[in-house]
Amino acid sequence: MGAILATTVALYDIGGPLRLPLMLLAGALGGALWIALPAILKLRFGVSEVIVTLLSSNIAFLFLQHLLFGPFGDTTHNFPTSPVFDGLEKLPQLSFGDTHLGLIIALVALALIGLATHRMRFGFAARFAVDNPRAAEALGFNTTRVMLTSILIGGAMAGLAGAVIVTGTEHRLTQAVGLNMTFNGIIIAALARNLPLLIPIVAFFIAGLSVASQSLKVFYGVSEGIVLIIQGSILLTLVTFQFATTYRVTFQSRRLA
Amino acid sequence: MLDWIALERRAGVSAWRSAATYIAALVVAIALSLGVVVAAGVPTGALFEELIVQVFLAPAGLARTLTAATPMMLAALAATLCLRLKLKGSC
Repeated sequence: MGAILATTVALYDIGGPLRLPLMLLAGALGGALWIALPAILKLRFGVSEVIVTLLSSNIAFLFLQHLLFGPFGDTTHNFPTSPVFDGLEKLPQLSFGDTHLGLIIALVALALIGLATHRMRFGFAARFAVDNPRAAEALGFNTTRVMLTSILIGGAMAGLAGAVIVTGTEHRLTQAVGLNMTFNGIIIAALARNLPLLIPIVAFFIAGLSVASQSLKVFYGVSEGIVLIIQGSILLTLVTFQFATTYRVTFQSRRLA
Repeated sequence: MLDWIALERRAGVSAWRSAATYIAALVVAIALSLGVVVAAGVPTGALFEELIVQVFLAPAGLARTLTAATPMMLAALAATLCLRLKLKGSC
């Protein structure tokens, strides 16, 4: 949804010289708004976030297809993509290959959120609200507000990721925007043990796998799915080892049982 | 049926044990991954070149990896914020 709103700003020429920051802002806003419904349903009515987010992801994808085959479609060819953005609507390149300003934006976001979650009252309140909501309420923390804020920031980051893809890499909206991004995000978060400061290292490693898969596909005919298998094995191994560290398996004799 | 197997939560896990587990898991995972890649038909001799040099060491490959990592970092940040709240789903 972030990519869609960022593209909307570009295609309707909104914002004049401030269009690029506005696109990124719109992307973040789109992500936050899209997650707001599942968040409110969860926090107010206890509706399962798994079901709601799965369905809302499907809706977002179908909406994206509708836009690409309709109002956002590039009429100069038959592929379902939007027109290519103007120079003003692309993130500036850094002087190292294809890297762009999005990298700096991502690192700054990671640093700020890392600081907020580990060194500020907000992070403490969020942890407290999860671990012991009753005690947190008794001590005056508004747990619902803390959790909602945290979820909305998460949504904003997801939206910003979409906006960074369209403004920095693709330079237009495509059907593949955000493909596998949810899965990658969850794997990276799990491998980084939910520590924002570890995310860049793990993301670099997972991105390396993704880049390697393209080369392996071209030179050795290896399927791109092999990367998903590798990611799955890494996650499974890590979870198994964590389980073994957290729990001890004991075997009782049948007589005792 | 399986009442002769019981799970006991360990009282506490020391930091070094936790770190060692993490490193061991990564080593096993990397070994498994290399096995998968070799089974998929990539010659063993080309693994280092394709998975390390071309992705992390060669300037063009490093730039491609950093570009690919950029949105992943933000997506992971989104997932982290939700997972810290013990929420599931594609948050």
